[in-house]
Amino acid sequence: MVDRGGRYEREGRESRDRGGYRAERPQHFKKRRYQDDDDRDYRQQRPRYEDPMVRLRKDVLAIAESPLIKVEDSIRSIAKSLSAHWDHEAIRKGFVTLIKTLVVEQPFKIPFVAAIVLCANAQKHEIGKLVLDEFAAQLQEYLDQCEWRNFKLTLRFMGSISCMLDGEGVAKVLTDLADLTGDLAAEGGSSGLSEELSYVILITMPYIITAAPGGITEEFLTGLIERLEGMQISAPIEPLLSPYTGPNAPYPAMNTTTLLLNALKQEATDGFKFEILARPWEPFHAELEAATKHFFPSITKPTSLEGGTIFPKLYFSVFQGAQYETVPAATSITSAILRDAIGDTIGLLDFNRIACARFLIDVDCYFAPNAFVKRATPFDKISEVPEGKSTWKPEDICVDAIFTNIFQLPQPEHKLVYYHATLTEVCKLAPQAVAPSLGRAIRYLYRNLESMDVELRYRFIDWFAHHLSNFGYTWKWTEWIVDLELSKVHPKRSFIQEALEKEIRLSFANRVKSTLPEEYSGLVPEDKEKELPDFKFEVDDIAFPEEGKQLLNLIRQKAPNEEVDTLMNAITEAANNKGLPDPSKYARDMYMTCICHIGAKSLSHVLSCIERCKDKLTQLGQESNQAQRQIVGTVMRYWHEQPGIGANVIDKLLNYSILTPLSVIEWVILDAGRDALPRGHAWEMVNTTTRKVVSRTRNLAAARSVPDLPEDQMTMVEQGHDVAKAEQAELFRVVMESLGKYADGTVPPPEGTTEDDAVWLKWWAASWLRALKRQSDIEEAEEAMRVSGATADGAMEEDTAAGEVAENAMDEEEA
Amino acid sequence: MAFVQSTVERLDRPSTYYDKSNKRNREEVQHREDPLKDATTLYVGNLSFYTTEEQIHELFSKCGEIKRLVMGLDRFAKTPCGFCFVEYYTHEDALDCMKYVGGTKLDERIVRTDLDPGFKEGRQYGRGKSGGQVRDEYREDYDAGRGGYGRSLQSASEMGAEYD
Repeated sequence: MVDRGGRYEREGRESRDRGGYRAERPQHFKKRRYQDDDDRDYRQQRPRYEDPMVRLRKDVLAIAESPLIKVEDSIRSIAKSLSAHWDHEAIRKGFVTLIKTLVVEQPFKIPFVAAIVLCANAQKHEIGKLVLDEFAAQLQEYLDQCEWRNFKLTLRFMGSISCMLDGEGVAKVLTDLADLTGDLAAEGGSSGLSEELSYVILITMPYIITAAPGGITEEFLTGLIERLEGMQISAPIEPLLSPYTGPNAPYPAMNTTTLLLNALKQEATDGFKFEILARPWEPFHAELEAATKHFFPSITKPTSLEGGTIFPKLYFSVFQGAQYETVPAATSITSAILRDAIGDTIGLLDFNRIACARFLIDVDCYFAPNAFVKRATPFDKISEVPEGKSTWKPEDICVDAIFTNIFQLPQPEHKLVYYHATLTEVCKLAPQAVAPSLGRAIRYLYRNLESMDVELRYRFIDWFAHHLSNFGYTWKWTEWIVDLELSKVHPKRSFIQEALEKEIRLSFANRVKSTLPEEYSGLVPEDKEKELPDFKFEVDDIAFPEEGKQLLNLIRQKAPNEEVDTLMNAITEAANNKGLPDPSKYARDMYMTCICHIGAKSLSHVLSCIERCKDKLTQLGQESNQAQRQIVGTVMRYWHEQPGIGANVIDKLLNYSILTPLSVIEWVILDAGRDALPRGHAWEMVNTTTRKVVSRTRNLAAARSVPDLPEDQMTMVEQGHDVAKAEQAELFRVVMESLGKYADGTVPPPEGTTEDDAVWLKWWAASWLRALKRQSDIEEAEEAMRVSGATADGAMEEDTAAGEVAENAMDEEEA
Repeated sequence: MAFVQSTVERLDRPSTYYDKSNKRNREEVQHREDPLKDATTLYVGNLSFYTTEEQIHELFSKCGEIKRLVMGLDRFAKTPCGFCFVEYYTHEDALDCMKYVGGTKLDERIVRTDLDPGFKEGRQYGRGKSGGQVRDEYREDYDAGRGGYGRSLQSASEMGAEYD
């Protein structure tokens, strides 16, 4: 898994293979083995030589990974070899670069790497000095670039070597950061950024105190905590970011920075113990006491702080309030420390999910011994844990951390599929341990569907189906059979339906059906198994069936446009003569249906058909907004058994600008109406479409700030941006207005709706409204920030202009 | 900043396949710019013959919007033969796909992804003797999703059948 050898080792191996006798007579080319083979081969092998840096790298990277090796032995031996080879520049450079990377890639190991450096410093003080200087330079770089996570971890490492620091050490950096936070708060600047800074300061404290008790006074920390508490401002968007709403929410919305702050306050009264943290330097206490101490290099406060919008992070857990405390309580400092370290590991290692999963499974290696129950302890065996011992399950803590990411609003750090894949890897590495945890997580989420944000609900469905697709679609469906009795608009019943729809999209109807109990057969009707949907002009009792078949043939045979037009005009004419309302809709519906049917075989088929008929489709759509909505309806009607495919086709039509975003949204919310709100594809259509609109506006806004843009291009971008902005505003307005009317009952539910269903339909509308309001608010805030950023620059220019005028005036007076 | 080697192997690096195919011009290759530097296309292998474009789309669009999807076809039968090319709009999406989707299951098979310099007409066809992919010619194991045993084995046993 871990590349412990790296480049060096590989090069070394090649050079070994090239030399010697082996190249002439490779063992595996020989047809027979002779008795003396073994002897000769061993003699012919050249003595193994391992580059000390290769060895060092391997050892440092493996630190604390194996529970079978005593970590203090590894620390001692690495420190020894380090001081023995310190005269070599390659070793010095290699080691410092290695641990700088290690700290920001594998944060679990920070205390252990710190212990190595402390031990080595006790043997050779130059080591401590160089590491300190290099890390200080790196810290400054991260600070200047506003890379907060790397800054935090580098600072954590420096805090962890506190006992070889003289003077104020890291305390000075913390004070400076608090000043920065204070300035931000006073200016009314980004609340997200000031929260992030507070968080960095607070989460560093446990590590410093643990590393050098007495090096930093408790009064200092308590004072700092109080100061930061006074600076907390909550972001206006925060209420829209909570994962659960309503009276049945499993827990109230909790801001992670606030949780951390309060936990630290509590800890202050208990004497700052931080029992969860590992203390690998303890066995070396006597040596470290005598070691040389170094002055902490000074860090300069940055003049300006940048780095886009930072959203507050809210607490999320799938194991809250369980019978046994398998994860630390939300309000505890242990919870904050673990969530931070695990969260960073997940966030940093997205380039190797398998390595990430390995770290998560091994989490108990990197914290205090006995901080957790034994791995894979079954949930019902937790009751047998003796009083006073830990009941925390390492698997639960990791699963919880991954779900925290999946359920992060507005967006997690990486694409959702990364977290899906990591959960899959964790399950593959330790199925016995993780699968039951995952089962409890799923049940917890399912139980709380009635309070869950609609976007998160969709993420839950998406993850669940994707996860099952990696494990043969096995799930204990029997336990949800009772819920099949619920109304179709009930969130639980809808979850089951939509999860199956998603499974079918990844697989096929028959396969999914074969994994379900008999009771579910109604949810996967026969029609879903059809390879091609019916062409309605062949089967249904419908107007103009003959013309429908004719048109299909014309388009299929690529007849000239005139013939198609003639037929379509004739149909409109006939509808008009019959006195049918909106006579042109028949030909339009027919044309789109034909394209769907011709392209039904696959996505490429429908794409090439759309491409070929692009002009005609554009012309049909341009007739009116209503016409476009009708086109959407036709596609979705054709694919009603597999709405996911329909949604895909719509998305392509949107890309070809045959449809406008507004027409898609209006079709979902106004035409498909509120019955569609519990449907996964409906959310998907609205979500994809709004995101497209939003990202176009953002791109145009970004294009505006490109420096040195020629004036004519600038005008074009400006105009484009204004149009996009207006379109976006209109879109959100329509959405909110219509959903608002559904939610407050201004538009009564369709006749025949039961009272219970009416309540649920209102609930759906309200939760959609909340999710879209969140998107709209975020965009408005972003735009406001861009504008204020621009005017701030402008204002500054004006100030100088005004200053010049004043100066001139003064000059004149003097004259 | 100078290139720093990660402490953990990266999953978004191309396999050695592309290098190998240029063995003859290796020296020349070293001077040329890396053709995969901005690659937005992925080769996807080990698909079942029965996996549809829609299924591929469903999984691979989790890494970003798909610009184009080209199914690998049997050169003679023009039926899917177990591979495809997925093209994204951005290089980043393609890398994410290497990291998050490569090595996971689609249609209950572990799929393999590899960065690709881009689809060219003709590459959608299998290059095996009988029209499919080369790996399906001499495969000795039975793989129901990829037409049973390897094709040359199948035809060998058919030839023997006349002596029964």
